[in-house]
Amino acid sequence: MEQIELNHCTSPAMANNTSVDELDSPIDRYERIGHIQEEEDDDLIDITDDDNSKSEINFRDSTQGLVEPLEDIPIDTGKYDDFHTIDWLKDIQKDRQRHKRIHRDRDKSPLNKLKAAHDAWSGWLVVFLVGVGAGTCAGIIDIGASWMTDLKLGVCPQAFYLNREQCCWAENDTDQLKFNDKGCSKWHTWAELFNILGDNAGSYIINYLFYVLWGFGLATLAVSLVRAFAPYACGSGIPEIKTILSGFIIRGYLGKWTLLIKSITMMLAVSAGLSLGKEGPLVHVACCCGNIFSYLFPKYGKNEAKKREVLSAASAAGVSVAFGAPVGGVLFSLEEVSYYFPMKTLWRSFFCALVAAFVLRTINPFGTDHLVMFYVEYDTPWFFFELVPFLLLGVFGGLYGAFFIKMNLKWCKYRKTSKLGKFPVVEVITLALITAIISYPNPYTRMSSSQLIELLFNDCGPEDNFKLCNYKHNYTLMLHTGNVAASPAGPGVYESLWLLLLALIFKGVITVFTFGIKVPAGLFIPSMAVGACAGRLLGIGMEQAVYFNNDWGIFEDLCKPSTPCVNPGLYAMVGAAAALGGVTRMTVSLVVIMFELTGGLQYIVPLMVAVMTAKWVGDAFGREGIYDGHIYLNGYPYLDSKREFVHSTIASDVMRPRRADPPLSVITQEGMTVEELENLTTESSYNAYPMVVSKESQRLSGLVQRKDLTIALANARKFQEEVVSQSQVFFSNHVPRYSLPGQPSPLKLTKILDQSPFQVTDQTPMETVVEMFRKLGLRTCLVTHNGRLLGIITKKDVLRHWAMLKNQDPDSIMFH
Amino acid sequence: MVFPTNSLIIPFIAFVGVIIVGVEAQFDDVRCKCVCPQDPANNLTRNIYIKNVIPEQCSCAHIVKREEKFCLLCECKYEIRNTTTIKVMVIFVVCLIGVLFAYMMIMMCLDYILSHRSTPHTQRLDDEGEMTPIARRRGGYFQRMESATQRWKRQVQEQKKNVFDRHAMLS
Repeated sequence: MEQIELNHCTSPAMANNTSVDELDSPIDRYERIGHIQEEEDDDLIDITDDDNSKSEINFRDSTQGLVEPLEDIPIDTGKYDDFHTIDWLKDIQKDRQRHKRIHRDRDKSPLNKLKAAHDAWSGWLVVFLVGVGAGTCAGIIDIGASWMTDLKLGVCPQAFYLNREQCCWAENDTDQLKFNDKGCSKWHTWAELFNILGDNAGSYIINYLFYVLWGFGLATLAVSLVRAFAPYACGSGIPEIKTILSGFIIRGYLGKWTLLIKSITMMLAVSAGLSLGKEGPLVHVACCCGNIFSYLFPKYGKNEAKKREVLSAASAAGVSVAFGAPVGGVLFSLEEVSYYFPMKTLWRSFFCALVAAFVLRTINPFGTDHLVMFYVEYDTPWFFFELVPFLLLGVFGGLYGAFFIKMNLKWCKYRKTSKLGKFPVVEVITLALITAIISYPNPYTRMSSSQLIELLFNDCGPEDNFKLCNYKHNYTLMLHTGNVAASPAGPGVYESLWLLLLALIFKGVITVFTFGIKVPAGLFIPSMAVGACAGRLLGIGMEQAVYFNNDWGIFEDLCKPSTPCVNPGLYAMVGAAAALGGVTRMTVSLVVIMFELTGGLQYIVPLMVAVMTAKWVGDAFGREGIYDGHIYLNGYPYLDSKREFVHSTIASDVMRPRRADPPLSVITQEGMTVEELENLTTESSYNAYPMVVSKESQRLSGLVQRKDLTIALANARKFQEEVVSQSQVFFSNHVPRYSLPGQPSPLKLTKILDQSPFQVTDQTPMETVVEMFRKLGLRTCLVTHNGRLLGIITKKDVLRHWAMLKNQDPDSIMFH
Repeated sequence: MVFPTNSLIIPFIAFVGVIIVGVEAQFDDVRCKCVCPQDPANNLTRNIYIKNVIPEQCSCAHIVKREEKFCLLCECKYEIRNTTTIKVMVIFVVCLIGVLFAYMMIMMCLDYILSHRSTPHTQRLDDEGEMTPIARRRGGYFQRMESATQRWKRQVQEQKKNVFDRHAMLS
């Protein structure tokens, strides 16, 4: 923020900006006319539609009275085409002018005062609404997904809308209910519904069949809904949101239909048993809410740079509801997704995350007063020697992350380039079938990943009597001391070890193929499940090692026989954090999210150790996280602020035109006719034209956006009858007062000229140029030598140049 | 855009409301749950006790009814849930999926019929989609709805092209 302001002050054409104040009412009028002409924004145009017809009539009235043909046509549409980068500086400058206007009018009437007040608090109001929206969506999705997931196993005939846990909620005979298939008397498996009772082969087959059929059906429904209504709803959404927040336009990506379809298909995909999570897509859903609500406030809806402030806050709310971690959400927005994050946005994100968490808590989707299914509460301490296994878990997380990223990117590339990409629906259905068929026999993969994580995070007490907690407790001692002491493992634990190992391998492999299919698919939950399996395995190993080698020096002092010593649940949690850290390369936000999940501050150090190690190990194999990997794979124009530019090229190496290219198409300040300009805009496809004083001198005087020029010319043709093809166009103030007889009247278009384009000299090191693009959010930059225009550098040129230096194919940067 | 989200959702919510009023709550919304260790020595395998009591009575002494020493190892929690919320939301979701599925089917059928008919009809629809907003305003509500739907369909086509055909995004 400071930097941008600073640059404004030093900008050479500051004088130009000061005159804008006097123009406010005509600008308003013309701005609206600009909207008629341009393509409509698909997202929420209904709101802005209404004043168009009126303003057109106004305009007609006012122009018909004009005799003077030199009326300026100032048009600043502020709208960008699809797949274009935005100009942060211009947008923020525009917002400042708008703010000034409202501020100045404040004292004119009470109504204006009200308007100013509304303008002042609308920033908070919009994030409040976004928080409410995100919380509600998350509540519906949580309830729907947990219900549909259990549908694969059975139903609650007396109240079909309850999942298994809720069905047996008030039942007194709920022994070993939570983590097995039996349930209570109220809950019926599919076999029981068909009157096949007991534990026999028949009931197993029927249940297996229903499990697979439901998985197949839900996955088919999910992929066909995505295909039919909103193809943009597929995937995790975080790479695209990162790109959008860095200043890129993807129309429809955050629209109403994407929101609706993503919310619905997310539930379907998770319930189909595919190895994917709903946490990443929830961030996308929250951002859709952010985009939709920002259209209620023109301040945000019509200004792309301002809208991104709301979207930053929305992504914080998304993580806040996904993990029940409001602070973690804010940090996630800061560390992972946001590009431009001033303090104001930090506070708004904080507020937004808070509101979202509060709304979700009010809905209480799990009936446990917690926002996530796998909330755990530990109070056992950890010991210094345990840092070694935590380090090992970090190493595992880093290795798994590197493996996952490499294999997944390879597979996605294969899908992109081969025939496989032509059958997205078949791919999803096949994958769902394979997943369901392999998952069912193993109880740890049969349950949903969230349930698995909950089970693995769980601290085994003597009250738990499922297999994972089958310890030979000494009950007399326990009743005597009131403590749950470390105990030797029973056969159930050893059986679980094998099953967990199989679950770990299966989840680890199948997720590589799942992430990137054409349904909403997040990878937080599967990665966490993999890490939790590994952590639990190591935890049980440690626990038993400590129990059986109690006389060893390090164990002896710390672990008393009668007290609990090693908590395998904690290891599972650390492992989950490590695996997630290895895959996404997040650090601070991940640790905060994890400790908000546990509500125990004392586990921060283990988590930090594991996450940091995971990042180091992962970075040793490849620097980019999975989201950055997907950004590069898809060639989104994302200028990463974390990467350093280490090459020693200069601006003239990067600028267009190159040596062999035809010269730049430029506009001269005066002397070009309307027809020439029209031909220029139709023949070339550049987005902006530099303006020079004359063709001979090539001295730079400004920059004209193509879109503005097209609209201005079209409007002039339409509403000013004197303007003909041969009319001269003036971009300067040296317009002849009266046109000579026999010559067509001139057209003045000063207002569309940007007189303060960013320029660098041809010898500027690219390092500086890259920093300018990154920090200031530039869209284009002109290259001059002694004031003579040489060329132009766009954000995509920079990205292409960078890719070329890294020996990548520069054409992989899409959307030219 | 205008069509399904605005004109469908209101009757839809009313419909959901009717269903909800018709179904009566059979499940309690409060419970007191005590979790105790198993005690194989006393032949006691049961370890979860659930009762619907008032919050003040939610203690091991009231629910488990055993000696104090045993109760030290038990943990009792009073929990509240809201089955009405769950019911409303699940029914809402199911209906929404149903409506979307039906709409998808209708669209597929229409597309099939249109593609097997002569081309002028589709041509006309496309032209309508190209109308300017001002021209659209002159038409009635239905015409506007129609063109909004057409515009939306074009956007979906565009998205499909980006995602499924060109693999330019989201792969």
